[in-house]
Amino acid sequence: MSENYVFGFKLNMQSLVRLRGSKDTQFVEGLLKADSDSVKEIDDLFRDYADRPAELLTVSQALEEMVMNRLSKDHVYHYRRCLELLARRVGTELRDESRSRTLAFLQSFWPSDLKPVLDLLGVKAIARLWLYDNVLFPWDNEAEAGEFEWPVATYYSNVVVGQALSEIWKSRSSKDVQVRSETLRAENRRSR
Amino acid sequence: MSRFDRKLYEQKTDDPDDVMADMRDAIRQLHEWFKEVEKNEDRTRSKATTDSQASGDGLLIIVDGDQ
Repeated sequence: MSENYVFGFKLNMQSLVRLRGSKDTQFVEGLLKADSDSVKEIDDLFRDYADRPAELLTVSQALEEMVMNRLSKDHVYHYRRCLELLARRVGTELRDESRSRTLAFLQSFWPSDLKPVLDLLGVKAIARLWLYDNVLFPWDNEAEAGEFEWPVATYYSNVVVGQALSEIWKSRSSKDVQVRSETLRAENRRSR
Repeated sequence: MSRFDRKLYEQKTDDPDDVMADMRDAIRQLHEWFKEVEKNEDRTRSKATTDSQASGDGLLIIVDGDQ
């Protein structure tokens, strides 16, 4: 995939977790029809991912394994890729209207690179969680979940959302952003 | 606090000094998303539960693309 994406969804995590083992095959059929373009795109990724034909899994099969609670550790990557499809169906996708998709551009930095800048801006909740994977779905615990690195999924609970909003409001209302920006520029000049 | 790594930003952007402007723009977008999530949220209920991950609406962010 040559482009960068950051997707945002308003979502109740419980609704997502309930899908596992729900046996709701109608839900799967509905999703495959409603989001057929994305399904095709992800099926193409799965074809590229499979080293041998025997390893090939389709989106339909991955979704079925989740709703029928027949998870396989060999399909950790596939379940994560399907998360976007499930989130779009269970939650509400939020539009990215940032200038030139700035939000997506930021994914090319590692979290440790961004943290100093986010800290300077006073948005500690975002600094703590940006590019930090904390979504276990469809697994019950970390031991089950296995390892996957990409794409990264981060869930900001409603409590964290409240904290983040409060920090953003403070950083704006106190005009600290401008002051901190100057501090950063001075730091840059010193390090050149 | 770790230092702002200007060299790293030079590799990623034409003008590393613009990173702050980019960051503010990104936060502006996240702010919109946070506001959208909090809309109609019952904060009293969410504070009462011990499992904040599971209660009410939250924001799920999926970051994908080239690293």
